[in-house]
Amino acid sequence: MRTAVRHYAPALLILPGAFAAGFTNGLLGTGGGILLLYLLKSGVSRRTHRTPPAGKDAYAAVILCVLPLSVLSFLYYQDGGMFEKVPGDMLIPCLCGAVPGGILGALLLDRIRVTTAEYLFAALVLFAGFRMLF
Amino acid sequence: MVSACFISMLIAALAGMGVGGGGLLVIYLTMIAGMETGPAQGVNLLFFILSAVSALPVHIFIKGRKINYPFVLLLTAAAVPGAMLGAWLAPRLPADLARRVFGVFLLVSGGLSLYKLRSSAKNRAPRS
Repeated sequence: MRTAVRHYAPALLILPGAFAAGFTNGLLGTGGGILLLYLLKSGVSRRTHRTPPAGKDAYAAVILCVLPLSVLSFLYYQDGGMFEKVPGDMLIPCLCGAVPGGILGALLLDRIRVTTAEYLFAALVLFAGFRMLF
Repeated sequence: MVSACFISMLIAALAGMGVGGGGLLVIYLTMIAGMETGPAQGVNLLFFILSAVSALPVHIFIKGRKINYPFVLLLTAAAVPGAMLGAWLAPRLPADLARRVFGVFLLVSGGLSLYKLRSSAKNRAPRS
């Protein structure tokens, strides 16, 4: 019994983190991925799994995990009438780049060093955060 | 229309590379296109579903990424109730509060990204 507890306890530690990631993704329509990525690379993940996904494998695992969460959240949003407020002329242009962009990003992940883009992304996100709060 | 299409493609590509494009579409839709935060989050969900469905076969079948499926299943099973609760709550939040909550998320997310970048830069720096 004690051995079983010792074996499964670390796995239980990761569950609240995953719940929080799901909650964030549902509430904000984004953000679940970044939290899961931190969870996967954290010490908890290392204790739960001998070989946690590393680097680019972790991105693929996160996308696979967030996909069903997003489908579920999308159904709730639709049920809650959120899409009635979306202008029809904005929806198609916004979505038409998703498929080619997704394929392009997955193909380029091995070839491009994204550090500069990551710095720009972080700066833009911080700026937008301040604008939304104040 | 062409510019929105190009921007969405760029954001999807950044998301596919793991730069974290998720929030960028919401930022574009709310701050430039003038949409409310809640509906923009809904569009972002649909956008992510499309880009993930197109990126996953590339990751799994072409790039041969190693995915630990039982581990992913465990994470997903734990995250599903959270997603249901969050998505149930989202349409019930007042628009102003939703905007502020998203602002806090962006500040945390941007801060974490900068911290991660600084940590990896320190690890790469040669030791004297």
